[in-house]
Amino acid sequence: MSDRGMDGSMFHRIRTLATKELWQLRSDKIFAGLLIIVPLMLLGMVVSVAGGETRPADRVIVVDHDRSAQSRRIAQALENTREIVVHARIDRLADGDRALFEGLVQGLVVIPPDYGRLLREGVRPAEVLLVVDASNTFVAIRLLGTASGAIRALGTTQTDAQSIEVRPTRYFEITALQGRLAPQLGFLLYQVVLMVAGLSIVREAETGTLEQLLVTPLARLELIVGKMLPPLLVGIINFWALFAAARWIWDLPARGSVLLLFGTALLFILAQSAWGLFLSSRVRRQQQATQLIFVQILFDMAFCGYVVPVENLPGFLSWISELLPLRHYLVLVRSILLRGGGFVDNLVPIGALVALNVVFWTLGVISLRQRLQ
Amino acid sequence: MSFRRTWALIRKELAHIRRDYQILFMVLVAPAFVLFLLTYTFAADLQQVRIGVMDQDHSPSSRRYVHTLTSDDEVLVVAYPGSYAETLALLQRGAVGVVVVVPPGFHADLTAGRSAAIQIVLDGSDYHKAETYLQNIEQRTMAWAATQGTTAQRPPPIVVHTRPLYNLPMSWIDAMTPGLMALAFTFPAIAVALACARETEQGSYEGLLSTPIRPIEYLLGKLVPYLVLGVVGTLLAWATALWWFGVPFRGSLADFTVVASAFMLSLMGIGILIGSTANSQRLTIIIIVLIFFVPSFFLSGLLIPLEPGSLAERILVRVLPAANYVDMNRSLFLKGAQLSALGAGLVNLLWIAAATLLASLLLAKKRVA
Repeated sequence: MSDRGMDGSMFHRIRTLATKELWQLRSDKIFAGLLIIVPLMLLGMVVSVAGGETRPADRVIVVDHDRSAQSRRIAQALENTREIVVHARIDRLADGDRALFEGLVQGLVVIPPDYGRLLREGVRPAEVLLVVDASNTFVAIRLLGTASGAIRALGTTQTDAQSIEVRPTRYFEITALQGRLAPQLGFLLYQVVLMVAGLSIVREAETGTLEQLLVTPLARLELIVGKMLPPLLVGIINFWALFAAARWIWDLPARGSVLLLFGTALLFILAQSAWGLFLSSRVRRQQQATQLIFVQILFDMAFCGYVVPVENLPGFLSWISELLPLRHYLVLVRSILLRGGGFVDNLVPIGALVALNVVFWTLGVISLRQRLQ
Repeated sequence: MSFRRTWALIRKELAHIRRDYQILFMVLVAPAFVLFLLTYTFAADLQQVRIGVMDQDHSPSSRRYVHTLTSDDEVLVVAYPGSYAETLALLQRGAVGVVVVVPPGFHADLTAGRSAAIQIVLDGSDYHKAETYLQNIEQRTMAWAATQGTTAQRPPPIVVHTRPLYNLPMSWIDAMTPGLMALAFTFPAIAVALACARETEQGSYEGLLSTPIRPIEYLLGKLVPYLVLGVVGTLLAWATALWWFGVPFRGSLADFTVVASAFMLSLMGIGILIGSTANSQRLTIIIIVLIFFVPSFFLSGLLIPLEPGSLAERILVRVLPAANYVDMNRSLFLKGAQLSALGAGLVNLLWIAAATLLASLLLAKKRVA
């Protein structure tokens, strides 16, 4: 750097480069606009599909062969869980099977003709058949638990034979809608930052402007700092836009310190930018970068702990998930916003993000230096 | 339209694909490869539950109860909080998602033949996990209760028999793989979108304009080679699902090919439209990521089924190919559905393909003029 000292201070040069990067972003108005507007639109779409319900509701059909006062109470008990919607009460099993096959409902509750009689006599147990569509295992497990619990409880309140009562207490409770909203604050931010960073170096290399930058008095390190600015800026704007929308439009609780969350978001954005710059400097063409980014996004979405609980992943797979900044950031979003966790509660994920920053920045700088030689 | 000119364009595109191994990978291998990666995340044992136990009773009954709760490897006690404050702290730190509280008097109630209570404290910030945990612990508690005291003499008044249809072992891999194909199959469409964007960005599109080639020939020349190779790619993914992951396939391969081709066609329609309107590869990429991936993951019914007939569902099936395909492919694999049962979805896919391809054609004509 010292041999370039004649061309003004380092900060001056970085500022010039930063201005160039920001001008580029400004001149590509569609690109810049999309980066802010599309994530917000997607946030809205995800919420609209969740509907206004506080709980996700599964739909069932009650096939009632009994038509007694007792059998009617089953439909009532299912609706009372507020997690099940009784789509219809019908007599023919074949119609129910058809609805299940077509995906109109997720389960059938089949009540045999002697249900009411058996329950009144109390000699033999009354039987109920619960059929669920297991082609979606998430829904099947949930429905099996809720429906069979509600029906069994119906028996015990009638004869008072239960010896142990289970009383659930929920702390930090949120609605299903808010539950779907929270991880999106991580996903959407992640994708935007990775794309901007992942395409930055390779685009200049492909169009030949990287060579032009190399003949300017910029030092290599200054170039890296300048290149880091667009993803950082886009990330920060996105963080606040997404957070503000989630907080004020959809009432997402913020039980912990928003500043702490912003601090961890900065760590997350920096780590993700470094990784993006690293990828960008390893590939020759934008098309290659695209492939890598796509595979990476799918991979991260699968391994970040939203779809599959990461703590249950077998050995080496759980190690891989530890290397993903997104995984730690999602833990932080949940902890700080939804459970009011503080700095000390979150030492582990914050430490992990700091460590990943060190590793990714080292990799990024080494790889960029090689590329620029 | 001249078939000779279209064929020449197809040959040009094929030569391009053959020369570039990365495109070949993206179109032919990526669907199987990505499916392979994604499916492995579901190989995890999802049923394991880590809990905390707060035993305030310290009695033979409470010890027996906790012991039976954890008798197999599915439930693991990782913490023993001594107070509600410690319980709250555990949940806040995210160390456990559930704490089982055995209140004082548990043993006395049971031995006196009264109804005893168990409290289950849950982390409500993760709804899905909390409910799964609650059900698991509830079932174990009931099972244990049945072996104790009063209920042992009398059978329970209502017995609920359960039958999981279409996926008897309730396998995560079997249920998720057909749905994940919707994500894996986007790669060939991304390749064609990039091919269109590159043509404009590098200026070779102007070169083509000076030849007698007409817009429809240009469109077909791009579409046909990618579509054919992409469909071969979906078949490779199908084979991976069947022979590597052992997912049952109860439909017919011909039906699968028809549905996968229609899905691929609709994706490529969208891809070509974006690729030929966006003026750069960078713009193409960002639009595709944001409009394909996030919605395909969260709005397609992959995890939470769309409510049939709701406004959101009616819009999504008409604009998002994956919202149709996830369900159709699951039906083909697990429910053994015939093509006739998938008519509505097929119509939606072809509608999307027709609309986007027509739009690209009109735009291309405008650019020529």
